[in-house]
Amino acid sequence: MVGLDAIALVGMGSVLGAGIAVGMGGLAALGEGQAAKQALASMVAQPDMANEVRSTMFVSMAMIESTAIYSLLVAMILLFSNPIFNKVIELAAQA
Amino acid sequence: MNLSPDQVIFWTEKFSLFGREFTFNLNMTLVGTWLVMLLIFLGCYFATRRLHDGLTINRWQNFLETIVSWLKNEVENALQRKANFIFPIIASLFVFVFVSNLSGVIPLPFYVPLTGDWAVYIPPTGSFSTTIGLTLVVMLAVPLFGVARNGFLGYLKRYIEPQWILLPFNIIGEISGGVSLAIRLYGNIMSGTVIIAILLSLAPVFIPTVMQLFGMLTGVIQAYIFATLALVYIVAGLGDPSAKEKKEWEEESRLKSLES
Repeated sequence: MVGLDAIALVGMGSVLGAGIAVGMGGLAALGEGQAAKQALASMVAQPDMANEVRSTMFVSMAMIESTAIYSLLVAMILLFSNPIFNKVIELAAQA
Repeated sequence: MNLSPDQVIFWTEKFSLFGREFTFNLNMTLVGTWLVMLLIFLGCYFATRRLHDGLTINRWQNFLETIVSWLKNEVENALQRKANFIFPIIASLFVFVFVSNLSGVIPLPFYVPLTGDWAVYIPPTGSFSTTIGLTLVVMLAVPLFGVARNGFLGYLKRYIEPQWILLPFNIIGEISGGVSLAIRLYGNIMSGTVIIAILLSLAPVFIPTVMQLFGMLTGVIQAYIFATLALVYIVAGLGDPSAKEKKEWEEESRLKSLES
């Protein structure tokens, strides 16, 4: 039942999914760029507050970046330790 | 591909407890954690051997004093009150994550007797088990500090804060905050090591060094972020400072600004 075509299909889907995940995760860079831009603008406008702005910016950057990290993790799992792919290979070995 | 230092197992032992079978694996996460602990302990031990309160202090004491006073300043600014009770947990989280992240640049080889070949050291924060453990510490500290300060009902009140209808969202927010805290640290450190491993097979001469430099930068920032977010969660559980604490804090910061 589970033949070569199924393995090929699941493999193709995993690789495509990993690519899409990383690409979509790259969208987080837009948000980070916005955050950095605003932080720089306010640092220039009010140099007294620069330290406070910088530490708040780091924290919010990390928050924004965590979405990108999630998609990177999903891509890593799809590529290197894909549970569905392992299951399909197991089924193919039985058949 | 090794995604986690959990998969490098040095020694394994089966034992039964209360009629159930358990397996104990001595993996690289444990060994790495012990090494980092040893490094921190030895560093602090030898740095605090000859403490001095005169005008000339040695460079290690200077280094430690800088770190401690900087951290204390950060914590107290975030809390807006004196922070003696909360400072030790935040400082130990920061120092452990910091040293562990930076230890990733040391190319330490390990001999694995079970498989008979060699494995490269991966920092323990690159393992999901470690970051989940650290996050559990934070997530336990939030209700503990909150209950100790506001009482049991006073702590639970913050879950129905603006309206009782928001109760499930507040609970989901609490859980997702913890999960993202763990995944952020793990993802950053793990992706650094995996990217270096991939680059070693593509361009092994110069490029991995640059990425490792970048990894040191992210390591420092992530340690700062982890400690800051832990602090933010604990502060959210504590609630606003009372009028008395606020007054004390303002008095002290006024004195501090007069000194400098």
